[in-house]
Amino acid sequence: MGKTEGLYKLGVYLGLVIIAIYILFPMIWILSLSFKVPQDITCAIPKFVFKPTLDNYKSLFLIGSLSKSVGATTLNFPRYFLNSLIISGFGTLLSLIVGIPAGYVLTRGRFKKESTRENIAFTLLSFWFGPEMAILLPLYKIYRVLGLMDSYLGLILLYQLIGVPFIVWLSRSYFLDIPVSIEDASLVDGYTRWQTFWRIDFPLLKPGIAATAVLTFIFEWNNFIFALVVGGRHTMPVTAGALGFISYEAVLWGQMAGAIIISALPEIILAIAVQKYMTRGLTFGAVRG
Amino acid sequence: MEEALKVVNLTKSFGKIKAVNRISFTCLEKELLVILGPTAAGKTTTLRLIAGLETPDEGEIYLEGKKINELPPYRRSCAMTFEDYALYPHMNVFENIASPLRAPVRRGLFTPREIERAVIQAAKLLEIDMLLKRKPSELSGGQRQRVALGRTLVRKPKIFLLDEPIAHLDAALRHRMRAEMKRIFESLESTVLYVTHDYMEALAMADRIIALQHGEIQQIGTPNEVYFEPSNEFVAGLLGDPPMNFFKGHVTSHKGNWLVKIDGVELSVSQASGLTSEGDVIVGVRPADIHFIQPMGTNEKGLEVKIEAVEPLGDKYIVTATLRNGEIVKLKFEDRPGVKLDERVQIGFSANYIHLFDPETSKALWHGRREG
Repeated sequence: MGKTEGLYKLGVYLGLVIIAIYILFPMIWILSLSFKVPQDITCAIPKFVFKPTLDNYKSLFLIGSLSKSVGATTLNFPRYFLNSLIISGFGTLLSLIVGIPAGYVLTRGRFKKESTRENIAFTLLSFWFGPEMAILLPLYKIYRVLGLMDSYLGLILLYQLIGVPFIVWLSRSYFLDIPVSIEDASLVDGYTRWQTFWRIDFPLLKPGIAATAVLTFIFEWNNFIFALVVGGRHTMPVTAGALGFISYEAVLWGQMAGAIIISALPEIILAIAVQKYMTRGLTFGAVRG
Repeated sequence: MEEALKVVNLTKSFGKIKAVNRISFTCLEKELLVILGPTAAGKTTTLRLIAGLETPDEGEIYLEGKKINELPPYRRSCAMTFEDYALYPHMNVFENIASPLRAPVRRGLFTPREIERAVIQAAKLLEIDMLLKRKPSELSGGQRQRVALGRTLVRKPKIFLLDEPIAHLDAALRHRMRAEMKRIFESLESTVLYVTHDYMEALAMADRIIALQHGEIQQIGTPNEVYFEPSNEFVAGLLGDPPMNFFKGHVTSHKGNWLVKIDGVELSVSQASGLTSEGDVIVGVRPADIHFIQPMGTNEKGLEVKIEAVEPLGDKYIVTATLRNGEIVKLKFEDRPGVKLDERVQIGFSANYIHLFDPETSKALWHGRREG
């Protein structure tokens, strides 16, 4: 190994270390906060060495202990966590059930006018451009009238605005990568279109679907504004629920940090679990035989 | 022989383009019928209409006397190969070939053992039985093509629809597969509709040829008929490499003797039965049917040309020359022709080898050589 090559490598690694610190520092900071007692958190000079405590986590799961410390507000973190799981989980499932067939039709379907296909696809995508704030007021009114406020169904339906366009667009690109002729071959072999979908497209799409599902779940899990407006006491997810740690009397930094760490766990676990599909799924073209 | 496939007035448009325009033909049982045509002639669309992958705008399709227009593809009993082979990338060769037998429409017809036996038999026939465990991505082009063929051979369809099955193979393999496929389909006594743009494939394999252009049938006939008695200029130019030469000419009749004048030189067309009127014509001559006239050899009348290029192609030589009026003529020789670039020489051809076409309609008026 030459001297210049060694220097070059050193430079690359140094750069990577800087990037890693830049990205990881906030997370590590939050993680350290979640193990600190309030005095360590609020002291003027940040403490890097401290005596860790599990009090924050304990109080998150002991209902009542929190309500004492925040006065009138009742915080129910385990419930928020469960709500997030239910809403994002079923939301993602529904998005997949609706989005993948829609993506299929918008790729393979025949339209009287070819522009119709792109118009529909673009309209779906445009849901992502629009600021969520813009629809909140009419949405609030509509949900009040329909009685969907503070209901799982209401939130799951609303999350389709996030999930469906995303899945339609990603799955469209996956379907485009599957040659039409192998579907035709399957039809001629004696399979119906439905059987062909399950036999040909689905196995080829699996990595892509896994990656898409995880991303959709994360997007839905991270949503804040919809849950804040149409969620309520019964359906509050972790994102909006975390606001409860800021109250008139005090800000519970430690508990909030603990809540953030726990609510990030499912995302991290899922992302690691499908990591091998992620890279394959998002660079799908290589499947072609 | 019985009719296997009958197509009546089949029409299909994509937007404003008529891909297939009122075509009608029949394919007899055990016949190998080749659809020959250039790119975008409507060959593949015709196959896809028969397979049910496209819905015709008009026309009927009958398979063994039964109208199949309304049947979905999986009920049609057509086996089809695709130009890009269309193998299932996630299945191994065995699964690919077994696919038609495992289809739900044939549930209960085959036991797993019978399927295995049929797959192995088809694979042996195509000499790919040692590849059964491989995935398509691990195969060469020729092997993939055999697997695609195996997937059709494993069942006993009423008709095989083959779309350019060997177009993408290298020349040596294409030659081999051409002979092999002919042998296989003959031994299986299958009815085959075979699409190709390669005239040699068509001549070598076909019982009959359909020449297709712009979605319309130009001629249906045996390879000999299509080659020696092309129905129009298009068909004449479709078969042969280099393609047939066409010259502007003029026909006159003199005391019952017909004369064709090309570039100021008159040729006698003695037995021109079928020629009925004088006038302008297009004269067609195949490159191999033209020869040089030795300056002092005979009193044969020739056309003066200027040599533009001589291409040696191993077993043959292609000479390009121009007539005095600027028309280009190609000649083909088996031996090196003794001519030099820019040399002016005389060429001639026997009236027995020429074809006359109507300059307006481009339809054939008269053929010099009649085979059989």
